[in-house]
Amino acid sequence: MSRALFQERMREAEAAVEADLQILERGGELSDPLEFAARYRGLASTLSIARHRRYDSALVDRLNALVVRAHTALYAARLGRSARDGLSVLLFEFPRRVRALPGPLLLSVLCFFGTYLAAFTWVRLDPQAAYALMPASYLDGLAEMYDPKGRIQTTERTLDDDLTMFGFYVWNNVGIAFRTFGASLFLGVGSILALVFNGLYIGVGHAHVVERGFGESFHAFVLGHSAFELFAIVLAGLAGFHVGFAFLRPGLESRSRAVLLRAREVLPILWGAFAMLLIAAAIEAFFSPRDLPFGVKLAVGSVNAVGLLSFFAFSGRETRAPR
Amino acid sequence: MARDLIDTQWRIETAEGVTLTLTPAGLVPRAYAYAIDLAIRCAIFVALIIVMEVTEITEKFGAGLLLLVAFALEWFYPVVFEALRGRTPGKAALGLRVVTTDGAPIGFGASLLRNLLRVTDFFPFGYALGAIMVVATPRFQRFGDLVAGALVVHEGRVEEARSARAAGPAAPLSVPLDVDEQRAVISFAHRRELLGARADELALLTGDATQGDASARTAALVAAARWYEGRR
Repeated sequence: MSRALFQERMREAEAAVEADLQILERGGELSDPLEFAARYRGLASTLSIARHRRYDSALVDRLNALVVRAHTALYAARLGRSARDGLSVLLFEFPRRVRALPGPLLLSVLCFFGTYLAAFTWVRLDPQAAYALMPASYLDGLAEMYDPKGRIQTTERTLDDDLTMFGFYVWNNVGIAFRTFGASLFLGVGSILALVFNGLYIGVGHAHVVERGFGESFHAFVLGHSAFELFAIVLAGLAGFHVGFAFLRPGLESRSRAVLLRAREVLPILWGAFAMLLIAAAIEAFFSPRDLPFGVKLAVGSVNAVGLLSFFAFSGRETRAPR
Repeated sequence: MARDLIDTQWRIETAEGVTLTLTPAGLVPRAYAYAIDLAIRCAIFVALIIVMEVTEITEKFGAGLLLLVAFALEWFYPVVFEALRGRTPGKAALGLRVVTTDGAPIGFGASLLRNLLRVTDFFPFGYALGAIMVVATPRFQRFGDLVAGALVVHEGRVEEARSARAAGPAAPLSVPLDVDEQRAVISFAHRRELLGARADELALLTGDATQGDASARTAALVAAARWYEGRR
């Protein structure tokens, strides 16, 4: 068959696929989706024939472009995931993945809480060390924030203030978590640095505020949300370690493939950490600043911490076959 | 084929048994697309500030809203566009699309990965590492693309050259050509408009296959292309 005749014969099939694509690419629905799949397969074999006969690139490239578009439209369908699927990933798959990675979890906990504890202890033993570790402006700012006689810890806080702070916490905290993971590719060193720095900041700040005598108002503020917030950062670090260490110990895969596979494994953890930080930001903005008795704050904080730990210990453990 | 050695195309075999050809996009169009997206993000942010000024939303509520929007623009602007539409507005302007390495549309998960890893690709400043990766990897992938298994490709909407459809005389060359040579002649005819003056120079290189001056040789090649295409 000559090229011209071939082109003539396929023009109709091409136009049909093009018409379907016009609808699909605008987000419309086809009256007969199965027919589109059949047309796509027909066009795909036309492309193969055109290649096999070594028709010129103008013809083959145009067919190829059309088949790629049809391929994209056809496989876009498999992305459709219901909200229920997303929820089951967060509730069951997320804690399951965390439990499956005890090594990186331990390392992440050590990097973050280890630094936190060390910095806290150091500054409690030698209060002046705080000024060696952190700029005075940071320490004074913190002290001012938690001073019960100061202008920030007041009962006159309005809903507007809460919303401002909610925006700030989401922007700042989720940004920190995402960066902790995003810096992981340098063999995990980026995540180590992010965790250690954050542990240091918080540890020194905590000890310094206690040293100044504002411990009670500080604890009353942070108890409610700290479990969600701090553990989410640790989980972002965990995800970073799992991916970053694939360079060092790729196992049976090639290095690039190991990184790719592990990144997929930690995706539920990233979504989970994101969700935890949203919860933390909501608590921190709307509950933590409320002027409630210390006992109430302590109770809420404890329930949160225990609830979170048992979520990670038990959720998703049933023997129901995984999808 | 020898041309496999030098081209940048990426071939994937689909479940339907057909090989698709994708053309990964290089550094420059991607940089332009990023610049456009950055401008759009800034414009949205500024527009929001102006709207808040005009409507006199209280300052503190507005500040919270602005921070939330800044967060969403920084981390989720590319994810939402790539997962739902396959490309951000900037990429659409440049005719680019993000796909997985097997040619399928990218989902929320893979898009989140490739965008979170911008932190690595940005290192130490201005996407220096990402730029090096795009230039150095065979499929033009920065770290985020490698980890997410993603490609940024040119979206092919190829229009057939007008010269390929124009009617005219059709006659074979005096020398018999094999299939690859015929193909080369056909490609030459289709690209003649793009080649401009270079077309005549190339025609002069055909030796004994054509006769006469440069334009006569070009005309003979185009006529031969029509013949080989079967339009006689």
